[in-house]
Amino acid sequence: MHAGLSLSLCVAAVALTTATAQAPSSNAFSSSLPTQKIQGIPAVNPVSQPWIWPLPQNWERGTNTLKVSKSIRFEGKGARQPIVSKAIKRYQNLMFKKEDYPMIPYNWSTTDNKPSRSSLSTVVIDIKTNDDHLDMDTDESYTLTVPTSGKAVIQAETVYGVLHGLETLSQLVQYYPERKSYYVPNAPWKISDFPQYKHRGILLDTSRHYYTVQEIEKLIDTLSWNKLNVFHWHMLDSTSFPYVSKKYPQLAAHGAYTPRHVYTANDIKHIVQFAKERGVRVIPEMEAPGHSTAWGYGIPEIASCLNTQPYFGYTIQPPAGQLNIAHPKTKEVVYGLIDEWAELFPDSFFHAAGDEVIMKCWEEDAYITDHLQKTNQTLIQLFEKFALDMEDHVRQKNKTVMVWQEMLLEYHVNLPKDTVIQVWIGSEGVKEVTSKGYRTIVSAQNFWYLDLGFGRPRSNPYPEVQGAGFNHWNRVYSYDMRANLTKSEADLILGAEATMWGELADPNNVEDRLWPRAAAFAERLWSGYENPKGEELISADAILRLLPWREQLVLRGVRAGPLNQGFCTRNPLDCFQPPNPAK
Amino acid sequence: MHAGLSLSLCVAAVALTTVTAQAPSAEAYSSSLPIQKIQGIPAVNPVSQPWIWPLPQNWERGSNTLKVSKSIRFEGKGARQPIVSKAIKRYQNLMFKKEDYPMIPYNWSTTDNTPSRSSLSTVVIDIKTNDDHLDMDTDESYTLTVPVSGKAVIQAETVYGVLHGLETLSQLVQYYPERKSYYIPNTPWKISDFPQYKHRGILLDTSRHYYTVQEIEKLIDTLSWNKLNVFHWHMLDSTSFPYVSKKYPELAAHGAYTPRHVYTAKDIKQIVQFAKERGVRVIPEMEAPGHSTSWGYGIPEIASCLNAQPYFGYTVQPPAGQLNIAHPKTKEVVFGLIDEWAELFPDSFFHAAGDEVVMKCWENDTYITNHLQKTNQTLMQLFENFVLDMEDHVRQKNKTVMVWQEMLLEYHFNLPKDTVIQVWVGSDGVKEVTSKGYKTIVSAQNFWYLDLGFGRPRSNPYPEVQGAGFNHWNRVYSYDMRANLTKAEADLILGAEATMWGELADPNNVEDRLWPRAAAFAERLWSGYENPKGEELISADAIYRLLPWREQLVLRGVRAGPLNQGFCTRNPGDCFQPPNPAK
Repeated sequence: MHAGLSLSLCVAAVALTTATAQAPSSNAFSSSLPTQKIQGIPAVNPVSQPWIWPLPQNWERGTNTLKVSKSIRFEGKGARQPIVSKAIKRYQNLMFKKEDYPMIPYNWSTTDNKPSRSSLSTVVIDIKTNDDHLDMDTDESYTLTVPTSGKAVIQAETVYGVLHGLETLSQLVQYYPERKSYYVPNAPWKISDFPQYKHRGILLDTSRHYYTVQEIEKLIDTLSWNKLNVFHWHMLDSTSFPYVSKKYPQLAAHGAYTPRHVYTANDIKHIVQFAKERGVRVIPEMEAPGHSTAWGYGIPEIASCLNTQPYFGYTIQPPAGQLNIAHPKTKEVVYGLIDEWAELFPDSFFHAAGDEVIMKCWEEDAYITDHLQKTNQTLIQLFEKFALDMEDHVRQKNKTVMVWQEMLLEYHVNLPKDTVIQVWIGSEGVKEVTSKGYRTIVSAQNFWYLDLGFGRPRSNPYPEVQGAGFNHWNRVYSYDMRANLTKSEADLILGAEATMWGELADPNNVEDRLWPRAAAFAERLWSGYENPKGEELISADAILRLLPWREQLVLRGVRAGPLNQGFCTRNPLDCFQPPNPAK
Repeated sequence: MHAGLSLSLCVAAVALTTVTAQAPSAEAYSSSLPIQKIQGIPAVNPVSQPWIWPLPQNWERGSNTLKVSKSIRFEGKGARQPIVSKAIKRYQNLMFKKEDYPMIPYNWSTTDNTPSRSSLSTVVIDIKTNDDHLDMDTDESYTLTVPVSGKAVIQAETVYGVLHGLETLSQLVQYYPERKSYYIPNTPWKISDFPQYKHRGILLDTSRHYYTVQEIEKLIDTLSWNKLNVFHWHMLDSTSFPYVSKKYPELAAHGAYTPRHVYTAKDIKQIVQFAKERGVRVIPEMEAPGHSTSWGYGIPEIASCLNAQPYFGYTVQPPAGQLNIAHPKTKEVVFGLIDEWAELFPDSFFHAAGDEVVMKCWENDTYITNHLQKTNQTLMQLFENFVLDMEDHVRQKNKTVMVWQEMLLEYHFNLPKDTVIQVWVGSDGVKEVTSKGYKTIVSAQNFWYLDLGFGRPRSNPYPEVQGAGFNHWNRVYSYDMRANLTKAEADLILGAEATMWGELADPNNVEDRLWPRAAAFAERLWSGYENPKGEELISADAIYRLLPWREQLVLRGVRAGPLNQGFCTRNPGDCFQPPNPAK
């Protein structure tokens, strides 16, 4: 493993006789020093897989290096489809990002990098159907061929397959700083790609901290680059009610943090359209009847234990307050909001929450206890009825109901079998839910909660002990959600979501919290655990692609944190070695 | 504690009849809704201490609200001092930051906020000495008086006291969104302030990841706002050698990541001057003879076990490589660099490192073993000679030598008593070092290492377990570095440094990693553990000022992460309650 001691043929040394970077420091440097070589002992080019993130299912490559024209044209009827033509404009920019002094001192060519005489100047886009309907069952597959000369072709069943093909094409294009030009190495290319899981999402909490429409759109853009296709919008919670309802404007008027911290119908339509144009579904979560203090500010009669002080015992975190599930006005309001959201969010999935209610809040509410006595039922019965009625109202809008695991595993509510259960406790929960025959979406907190690790503000506002529970990229990448499942149970996994709850995340740090770890998550869902040949996808291969993908995300404007020392980006094989040298 | 149920007199409700925010959502919202109130049940104004961070030693306030003119003038001979006059320009901007929809729905006035008739339009600046020399013993004290009418006065021994006074003044100025104007509540003010500890620093590692000059300057700016006064520049390490030496240009030519990732003499001079103008000392650390692989790329003969593969056993993290302490060329190079840095960094402190050497690296180097045999000495003797000679060379430049604790506690070297020992093991180490009579600077890793918590890339590049060891703001704030010390031992503590090592931090995430936790650290060092009246400074008071200070840092452009849910920023009394309700 003396990887550092021989100079590979394919090291593209950043050998610049004149320095042209903007930083004054490098100018000063270049004037005092002659030709610059890359740092120290050059890295061996550790390329075994192409730098495509997530890795395509099937790919074949050749040995030619093809120059890419910056005036590349996109042809065919498919290129004029409205969603595709907008995407082409974006990718004509994304394809040509550059860094004259890249931290990675080689590119991913496996050959000698000598360009062939022809160049890539045309891409033909071929879409089978005109239907731009986007849903869980939308066909996202595509093929991409880049010949040694002539036109590249992206072929797909739907526009959404084309979007993925454009993303893959953009990742094939590499900037060669020593030639100041763009190339596709290893042509000809033949890629045939499709996702392993249909539902690939990120949950963002915009109630604990607010994000502007622009900040949400930037996140959705980044999702699409990682071939994630679901934005799970946890818009409401106890902390604030940013949704400006047409029927109940008083909810946001008193429940939003301020008049600026709101989402109007217009904002939502804008975001849904923006996401659709990037192949991303927007699934709203209506958090109820727990985690709902903020509703009570605008309509006090629908709340129980509103802002009870001290809050301990009435809520898992401040402020206390749940929906009053006995009051007739509560259902009226919840149904009214469902009616509005069913229109604003065209997706066929609708998340009806149902998690983390605290019985003590209701048990001490005289309105509720009186009602239970009058109607001769238990609190659990009342709760079950409320939740099932709410879910039925969603079903009447022709939506698939998603709920949190508690509905099934903790409250044992008798849920219809078409309910999709989102599981956050990990492998045991996935087993229990699927063995009961329910479809599931996996958000295992010990692996895919990306907000954890920074102390426990929930249980103790003045933590004495250090934060723990940070899910490192390799832990994110390594989690196998099929663990201990039978084949038929595993088939009930629709996909997964990584979460970004809002206690300690806001627009200032959310990008570092999410990326590049959410990218590791994204590859698992798109590429799966094995490729079609049955070969396992492993961390030790993935890191060699994840390092350049993080650099690419930074170039595209995402504040993604580093995976390790800069030295490891430059010399991955000298750094990412098996932890136990005895092995 | 039903803090939420009564509307306090001093709640400055954000009651806006016309909404003028830029966000389209707010406009759409205001058109459909009349007058907006703050969220939910308004928070009681929990102000017991003014929003000044760090808290001044002595402060008295009155009950008048004074309007502040945006064309505020600064008078007196002191205002024309070059460093002060530049600072005034900065503060004429920093003083007037505004947010029309602040997350904090009140200001820190303890009165009814009715402005008095007069306004503050003039500040007199009075400096006792003209000397602008900056060092550990520089007098940083100041007094600030703001009368009910007439001129405010900042008085200080040195320009650096004036800078602190300007910062405090800028924090007294509050924007009142409902009046669209700036005010100082609670005049008259009489503040008399000084730091509890002389050495208050942040360590930044620019070797594992590179920061541009502009990024370093932004950090220094933020240090000065928090009244921190030391930038400990850990410039070199095994991973890269960004310093462009005049005498040995080959070190950066081959040891820097790329020609862009370097610091020239000019860059350093610019940073030192920028820091001086903000009252911040720049202390360079010359990491040697451990952690020094990157030196060997440019001058191979001065390195031992250069990039040994696999690296396990030769280094605490890749790449392997230390200075060859037997080779005569090594001392020549180290002394040559010390000569250059002694001029470039005018500070009287110079950090000579000496930490984390790995003996196996030298034991397996035949050059070293031959030399030991020839000279009939042990490896430890050779090592001790090398570092003591290196430190003596620093002393010859009239510098105080700082080293890491290993020199004393692990290698038991016979260090002169004027050596300053930087301790990273925490309370036990502080006790041991001070009981031996050495002055110390505390960087306890279990409290003040701000880079930890994200997995252990050192010991395992593919961590399976979750990251742990994140030092939450309250843990940072609560650490008492005087624990178990006698008075005489405690007096040997010169101050402290929080660290930002570079394994997993770079310009993309460093601000969230540092702030607001480094602010919590900064208050401890400036304000101390008790005020001059002997009253303890505690987290439960500090959080009420740290929440608005974080908002202010964000307004000033720092990507500081949130301390908790947005709800807690708005309603701290409803959120930061004692964790045990029984209390």
